[in-house]
Amino acid sequence: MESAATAAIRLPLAGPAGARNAARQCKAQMTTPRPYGSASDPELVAWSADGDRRAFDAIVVRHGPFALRVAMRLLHDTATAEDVVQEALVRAWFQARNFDPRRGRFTTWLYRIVVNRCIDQRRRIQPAPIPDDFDAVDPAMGPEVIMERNQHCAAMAAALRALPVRQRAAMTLVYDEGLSGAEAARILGLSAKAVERLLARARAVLRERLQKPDWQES
Amino acid sequence: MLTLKRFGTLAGSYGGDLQRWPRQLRDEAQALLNVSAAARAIFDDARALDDAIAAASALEGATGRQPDEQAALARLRSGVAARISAPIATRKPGRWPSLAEVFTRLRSMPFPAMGAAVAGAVLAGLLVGAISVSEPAADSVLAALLQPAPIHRLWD
Repeated sequence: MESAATAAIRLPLAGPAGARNAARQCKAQMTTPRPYGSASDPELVAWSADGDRRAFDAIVVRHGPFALRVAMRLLHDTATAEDVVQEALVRAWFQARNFDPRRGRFTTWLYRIVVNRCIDQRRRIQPAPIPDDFDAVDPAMGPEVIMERNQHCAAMAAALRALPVRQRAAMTLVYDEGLSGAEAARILGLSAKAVERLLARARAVLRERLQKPDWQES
Repeated sequence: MLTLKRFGTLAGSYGGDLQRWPRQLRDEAQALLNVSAAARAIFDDARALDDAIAAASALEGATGRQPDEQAALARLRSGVAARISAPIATRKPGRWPSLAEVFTRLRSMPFPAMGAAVAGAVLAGLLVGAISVSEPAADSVLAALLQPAPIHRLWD
């Protein structure tokens, strides 16, 4: 539903009276800042589509952290993740005019751009090796506990990183970000059943990795 | 009614936390957990795997490879602001657009405009051909055979 603020910036111009009204509205908008913090996503997108960069900055503040976390989980590299999210947001800015809130939520649209770009990027690059300081030990623990903990965590972390990117994306959205299977499905452009299968395959791989007798060798 | 088999399938996907399960199945899953030891065993097993995954995932975040969220967000905001504030690149005066640029512009046009542009280009080409192609010399039969006929000869 369109708010009063959104409706105001979309009033048609009709003759000199319309032009005067528009000028008054522009002046009012310049002197009275829009309620960016409390505006809904569709309102912010509508303002962005009209060239309001502060509205788009509010979108970045609101949804950037989620996008960054997901990109980081999928790409394992801070700089690449930030580049991918920035590209996705810039694309969203230029396509804001095409967004139709009746067809779906803005977050689904934005996160789909982010996740698809991450998937494309991940397919282009080889995963980086796990650094030596990946599993730093806590000296307060006993040596046996440390060894067991390190072995389990390192094996699981390696298995997580080696998952196919779509399985990793499904796990990130559902497990790390707490989205429902249906929400994750909309972002990934899949059915809920397909997401369920991705999660099941990922968990099967991780379970096998955890129970593998020779896991400590890797 | 949620069967034990379906319960096991769902636990194999969503793990040992009912909050992740499809909303419409949570009550049935809880009811099955209340009465079935087999369901509880499946659920406990799924939860153990959840714990291992969470530990590995948290470890990844604790080793400094996850960026400082606030600093990353600040970089993102300034980067996006700079990109969307920059003027859109325009063609340098005097330079002809490349074929790729022409094709991109054509693709962005609505269908009638694209058709009109293509038809206009074809007509302009035919017109230039009709005007500029000279008749072959009478004594050069080979050249006459190889040279395309002037457009006005097509109607002769």
